[in-house]
Amino acid sequence: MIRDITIGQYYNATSLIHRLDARSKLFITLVYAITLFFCDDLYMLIAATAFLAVYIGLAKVPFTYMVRGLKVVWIFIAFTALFSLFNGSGDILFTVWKLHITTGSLYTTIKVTVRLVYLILGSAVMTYTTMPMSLAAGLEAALGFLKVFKVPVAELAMMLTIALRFIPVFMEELDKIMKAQLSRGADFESGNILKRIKSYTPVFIPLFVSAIRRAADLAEAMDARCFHGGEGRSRMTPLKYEKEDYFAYIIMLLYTVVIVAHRFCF
Amino acid sequence: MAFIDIKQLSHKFNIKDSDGNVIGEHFAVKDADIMADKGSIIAIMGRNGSGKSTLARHMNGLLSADEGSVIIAGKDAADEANLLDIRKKVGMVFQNPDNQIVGNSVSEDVGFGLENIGMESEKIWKEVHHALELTGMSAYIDRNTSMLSGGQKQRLAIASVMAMRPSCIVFDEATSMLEPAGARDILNLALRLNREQKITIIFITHKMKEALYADNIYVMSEGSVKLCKKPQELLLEKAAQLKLYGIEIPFVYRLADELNFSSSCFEGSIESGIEAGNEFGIGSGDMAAGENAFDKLAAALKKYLKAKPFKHVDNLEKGAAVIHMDNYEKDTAIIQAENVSYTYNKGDTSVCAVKDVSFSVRRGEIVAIAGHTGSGKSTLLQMLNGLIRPVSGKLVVSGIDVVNTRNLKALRRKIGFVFQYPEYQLFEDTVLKDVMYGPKNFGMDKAQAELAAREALSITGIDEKYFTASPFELSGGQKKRVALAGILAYKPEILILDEPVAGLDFEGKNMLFQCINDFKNRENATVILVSHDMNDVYEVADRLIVMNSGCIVFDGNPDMAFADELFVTENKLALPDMYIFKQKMKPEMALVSNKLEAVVNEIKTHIGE
Repeated sequence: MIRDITIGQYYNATSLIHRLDARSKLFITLVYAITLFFCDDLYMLIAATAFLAVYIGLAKVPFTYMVRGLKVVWIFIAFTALFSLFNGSGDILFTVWKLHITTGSLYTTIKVTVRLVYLILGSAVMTYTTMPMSLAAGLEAALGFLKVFKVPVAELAMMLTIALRFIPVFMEELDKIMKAQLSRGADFESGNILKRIKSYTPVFIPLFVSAIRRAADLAEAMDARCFHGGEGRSRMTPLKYEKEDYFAYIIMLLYTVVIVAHRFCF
Repeated sequence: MAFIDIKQLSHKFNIKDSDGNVIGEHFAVKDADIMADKGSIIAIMGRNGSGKSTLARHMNGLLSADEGSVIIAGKDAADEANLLDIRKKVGMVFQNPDNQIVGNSVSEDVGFGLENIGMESEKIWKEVHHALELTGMSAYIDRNTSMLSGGQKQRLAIASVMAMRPSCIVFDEATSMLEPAGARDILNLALRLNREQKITIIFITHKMKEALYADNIYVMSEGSVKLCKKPQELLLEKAAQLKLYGIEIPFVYRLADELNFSSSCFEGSIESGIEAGNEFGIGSGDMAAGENAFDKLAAALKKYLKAKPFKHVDNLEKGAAVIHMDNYEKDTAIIQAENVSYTYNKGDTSVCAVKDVSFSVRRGEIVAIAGHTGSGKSTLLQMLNGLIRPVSGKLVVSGIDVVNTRNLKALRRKIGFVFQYPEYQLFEDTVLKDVMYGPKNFGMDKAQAELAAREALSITGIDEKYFTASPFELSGGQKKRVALAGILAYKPEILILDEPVAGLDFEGKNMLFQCINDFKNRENATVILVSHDMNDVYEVADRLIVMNSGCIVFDGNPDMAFADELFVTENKLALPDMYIFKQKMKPEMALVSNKLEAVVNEIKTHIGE
């Protein structure tokens, strides 16, 4: 079950979106995220949905694969939705025990949920279609101006790549440790919240120890392969804008203009 | 001048007290001299903690010497300006396949080192393609690294090193976490790179099979180099000498030693066996420990036997077989599986991991399960204690219906499941507390749990002075035995062992099997052993189950499985040394036992000693 989670992993395919420069995809994601905040009527919802549908379609990442891979995130969103559903003003629609669902809360819930879901899907397309190394390169370029303030952008980008690389490794390890402790009679499912959290100690300590061990091993392996920080490094796939990228920028700008115009002029 | 020239190297670690004050020093390596000529193969052997890995890290400047000199390709490693050059010249392949891959895709990982030295993009890609071709990984260039098998990951690690155009590769126990086919593959690749690309190879290893390919074998113990010999000379060392340094003794030599075979009629045979191996072309290699030496030992034994009258051969054979069967029929089955299947969803397709499997295991039996990765054996094991439930079929374990039971804890109480690398699941602040975790979960009170823990720790040979130590401070072998104690402590009726000796040295392995055997005899436990090492399987198990693509393709006497040549290759099984030896001894001597000790006794009875 845990191994189904594919957050942050690259999905190997050839598509227009895969070909786009990482910086373009960062720009698309950022702009899309910002415009989502303006989105509060049906027209804009339709526009955002249509945009997302085309975006995912072009990326050639199967929709069901995305949805399944983001399972953990959906659980979080469901919780958020549940809380907001019982919080709000307006006419009372339903009453569950002592909690009221109102027109206001229903409206906000739908709005917030849709925004969150679209936000997640939109940014997931970026991670599914971009090799982590390119993503890191893109981030490094986009945040390059921070180097002036002595922020180690290159090293941070490298850390991001490595973190993404180790997600599947730790998922597998988590699965194994949980199974081993279950075999030793561990019980993760009974008792109150406090007890349950405590019951995870035998899982998280070994996981933590393993993370430290792996980090030390990896640092050594990187040293052995001449890693000495960001300075003097080259890139095997330098960032390069193609025709598609310029189109992407133009489309995004147009999309923003339309959304902003709709929001403030109508 | 030698390519690697290490003289009087010492490396020490400070010993600190709990406040971080230095209270002494420990020499991980002391006054070591190691030389390797360009294009040669060197092996460094020794038990875990003998300093061989520390030594290896001096060869590409990962550590710096406290005393002595390290000269690599004419460059002094003490000078920091040389470090980058040395690291380019000497690549390292480490033990854990997962922990040395940086890239998310194969090409990214191979290019990582080249990016570090600032090569331009076009050149990097050329080198990446070249390195992948050399290592036979070209087809995987766009593959996600987490999708590779262990063997492929190590192959990738070699490719990443080769991309730097090195003159030397250090393999630091690089095959110890791989299954035999993968390990063989990596060994062959290393030997090929040595032959075709003139790469100097350094094997840091526990495996005699690898070390025998070397031009020189260095044996280390307690930080010092104790022996430096050619492989054939090393094999002729007295077994006691090799045991002292914790070195694996190849089967034939161990057997010869146990039989006290006099040098006059035997040693010559071994030597000619090694000579025959030399003719093969690639060092003395496998041949010395393999086929040829077997032939020589068997021939020498047979020759010896001709001069001696045989004694009661028939009796022995029948007697052993009868006792064998009797033990079982009195008892009922402790595991009963009928048409058990398990399917899961992967992407949009449903995968059948275990198909319609039926078998039963009797109380007190030792059953080995073999099958290559993905054959469904780990799924099958996990069903036994309800970690996953069968999708269909009937599975009863120790009287509990696994498919329908609501009380999984009661089921797990009866099963001790020792996962691969159980030491990675330790978590408490003291050894004793960690071992008490299982017993307490299964309802013992604190006093009972402590009693159980103490008993289990004594079975696994952990000294009382370690009981209050942190489990993380122990050596690898000790950690493994503490983890085993944590499972033995609640006295399971069934012990499931998944590759229990992986990563241990020769001594550690023997010790662990001894613990398991002691526990089995004390509690009349049923043991299910999963292992890729057919020598272990043959030595330990009464019965062998072989799995392939989710089905049981063999269930019975191990000898029957190994007799079928086609079956052995189809299922990627290797023939156990003992089995080969027994075949060679036919028809003059039909040996019945599988265990070394018992075979030695049989032979001695035959000879009439």
